[in-house]
Amino acid sequence: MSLFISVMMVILGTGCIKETYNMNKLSEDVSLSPDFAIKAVKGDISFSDIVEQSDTVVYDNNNFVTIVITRDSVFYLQSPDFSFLNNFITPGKSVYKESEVEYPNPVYYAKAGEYQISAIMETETIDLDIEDALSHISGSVLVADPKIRLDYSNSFTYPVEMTLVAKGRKDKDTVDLDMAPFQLSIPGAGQTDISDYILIDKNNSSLPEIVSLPPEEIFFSGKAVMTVNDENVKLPDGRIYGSLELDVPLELRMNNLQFADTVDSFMDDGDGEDDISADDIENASVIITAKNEFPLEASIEMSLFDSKTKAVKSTIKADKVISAAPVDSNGKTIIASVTESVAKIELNKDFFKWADTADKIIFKFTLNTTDNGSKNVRIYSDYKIDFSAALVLKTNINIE
Amino acid sequence: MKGGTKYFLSLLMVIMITNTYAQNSQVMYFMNLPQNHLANPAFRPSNAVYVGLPVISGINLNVNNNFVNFSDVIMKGQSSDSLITFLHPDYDVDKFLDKIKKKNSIEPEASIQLLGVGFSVGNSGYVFFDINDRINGNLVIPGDLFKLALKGNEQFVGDKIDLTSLRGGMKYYREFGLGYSKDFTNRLRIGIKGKLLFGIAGASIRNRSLGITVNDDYSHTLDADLAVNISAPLEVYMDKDHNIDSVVFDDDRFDTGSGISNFIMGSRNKGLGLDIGATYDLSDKIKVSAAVTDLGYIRWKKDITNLKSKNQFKFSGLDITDVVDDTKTMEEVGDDMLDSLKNAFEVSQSGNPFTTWLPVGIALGGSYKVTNFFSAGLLSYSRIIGRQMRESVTLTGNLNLGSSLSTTLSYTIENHRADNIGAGLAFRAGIVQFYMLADRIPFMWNKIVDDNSTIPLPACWNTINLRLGMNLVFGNKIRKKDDKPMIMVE
Repeated sequence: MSLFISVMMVILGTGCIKETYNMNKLSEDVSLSPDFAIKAVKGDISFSDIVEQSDTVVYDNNNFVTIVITRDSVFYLQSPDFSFLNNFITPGKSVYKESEVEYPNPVYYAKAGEYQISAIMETETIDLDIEDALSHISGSVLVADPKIRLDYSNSFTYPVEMTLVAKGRKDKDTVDLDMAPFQLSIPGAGQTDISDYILIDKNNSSLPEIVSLPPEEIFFSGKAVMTVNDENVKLPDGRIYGSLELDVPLELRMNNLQFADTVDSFMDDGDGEDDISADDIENASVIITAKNEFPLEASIEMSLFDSKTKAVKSTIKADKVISAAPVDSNGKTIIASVTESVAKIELNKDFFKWADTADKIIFKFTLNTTDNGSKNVRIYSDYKIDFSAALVLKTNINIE
Repeated sequence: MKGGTKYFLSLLMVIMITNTYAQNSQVMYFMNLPQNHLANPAFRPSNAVYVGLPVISGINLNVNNNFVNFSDVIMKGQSSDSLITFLHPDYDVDKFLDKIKKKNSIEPEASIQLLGVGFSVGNSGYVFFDINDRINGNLVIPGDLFKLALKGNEQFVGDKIDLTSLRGGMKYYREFGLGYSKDFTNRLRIGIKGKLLFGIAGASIRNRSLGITVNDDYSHTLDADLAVNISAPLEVYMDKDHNIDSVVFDDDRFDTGSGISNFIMGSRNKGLGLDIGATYDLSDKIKVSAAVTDLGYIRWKKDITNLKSKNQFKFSGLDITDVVDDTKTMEEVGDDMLDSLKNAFEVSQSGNPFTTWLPVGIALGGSYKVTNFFSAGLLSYSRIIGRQMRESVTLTGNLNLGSSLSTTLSYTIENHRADNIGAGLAFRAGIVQFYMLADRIPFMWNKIVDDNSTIPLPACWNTINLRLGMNLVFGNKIRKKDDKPMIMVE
């Protein structure tokens, strides 16, 4: 009993101070290190979502994509455009102009014999206006089988030989079409006119090489030579009219085709304040998951560039962010064999350290077709890429 | 702030902060106190009559939290007199998280005994009547919420941030209890107490499902099946998209005394409660007892607001397909996603009555009389709050000298701690009986000082439990043959 009472007294009377907390000495420093992971964006994008079918981009019944460029009135030659050549085919014969008749109906007379007259097509420059874009591109792309269909209408009844001279230029590189002269069809008996076409392709020209430059400008000229074999015949009125259609079927191969561009850093808005503090972020990863039906793989390189010191401060590389789809012997993707790929882009502390000071970002995309561009692949409009990008952020936030 | 509001808030503050007295004190169970019929209605005091004076006869505060102490939040820094928080760079926040449990609960309770009367009837009967204002609440915070806030969501990849245990409730009600106990045999005594309950204000969260699954691909699936029921002078305004626009406390009704009275004395939220208990003398020295208390409910019908939301939403990134095909801007895509999220968890509002249940207490006790004055007791006390059960085991030594002096020293294993030493003391001076008891005595205190004040705080505050009061007691002689009090007094 006495023990119980003693214990009671001790317990009730022995409260003691364990610690004294002086709140005036309380540090207000706060540090948090939460790690966040979130799927930021996603998309399920087909070729047709990016490029709508039009007169220029055409999908065939199998959804194979062809780029079509048409140009009317590539040449239009009339009788006055022709002039006599000195190379009379029948020596001793002469040709004279009987009278001067005002255009458009000059009348030529020739004496008997065979001779040639020719018309020169003035050089036309087609500026594709892609010089700026092409200045960012390097590496090689080969378009397998572009074609030009040259449609013409000819009312001359004498044989006309056309020589087309075309040249593509990209920077200092030029490629000639290297196409042999060809004969135009002539109207038959009872016909005043004939329409026909010439096909220009890899079999009779260097067209694939021109298209694959790809060219900033295309120089286009030519000559028509008409051979006349008649005596004292009044030359008929006539004209030759031509238009073309360039078909570029997207069957191609790319090998380390690079697109590089420098943009203002979106991580520095110029307000002089730290938008992203290196101290706040330990590291970050962008995880890209893609199921890609395109036979194209892409790699990305991103460099922080300080334009004041002209120095690259930090570079992030990510190879094969998107993997190329496997293709069959025709270059078409084997959809059933397409698998999901996962790529990780690591953004380290060093990157964020320089993100505050670098005012430019240099992006470099490298593209390869399947098997590193060693085979032709074909692009179909129903190819799609199902992708998502997740952000994993490891932070270290200090507040004082 | 208007006068009525001040009064209301002041009253709440008085109830919630100032007053201290435990509903379920384990220490009280074996003491010779008139109030111990609250723990087991079969108990009766040695006094023939007791009157609990309004308010001062018993005031109570009981706060349990099962996860943090002051020293877990603020601790000594590297230099001896510096203080840091658990968020300080020098502190490993994982140590703090180690103390966080899967379900972290805070359970404040307070009550005021407005009136208490008890008197003997016949040979062994005892009638007691009391009026208590009681307020109790419970808040369960899922451990995952702390982990999410402090460590981010990356740790949950492939798992679920399970917030289903998030729960909360609060009830402020008045209890009118009338009880009677009687010896049915020489050994068996049974007591029962019926309670009429009037709810004054209440709120409860029904959480059937709440969580965020962080999938392996970092997409997130949110699911929620939540309902909040409120009976209080609140107006919840919704916007046209069925989202909560504002919550306004209706303080106009507290501008007048009658308004306050109508609120405090309201009787529309009725409920019933029941306490039942028994004691049995196994021998002259051994007595066992059992009780079930607070078996009951309140049906809330006044000032009702029901808010409900149930759906699932998967966020797998902003879909930029429309941005690529140039039909939308990125901003529009972001807005669409937020709209979808809001629409998925559209809140529906109604005014349907709802029911809340009292937290049921189950006591199983036994005492062994060592001498006529001294006994040892063992008590198991369980409390069922919603889907959670709190269990405690208490070992006591009890010294009872009639109603002149009653003391108890207890050791309780409770709330994940085994260092709860409690004590109770009641003594009588004439017709006035004073008592004070605590289930956990804070032996160690921390002193919190600043420029203006010094505040002592218990070093461990997981369980704060204190009960004190004053009774008027009359008659102390118990008829030996006919009455079987729990404590024999010679």
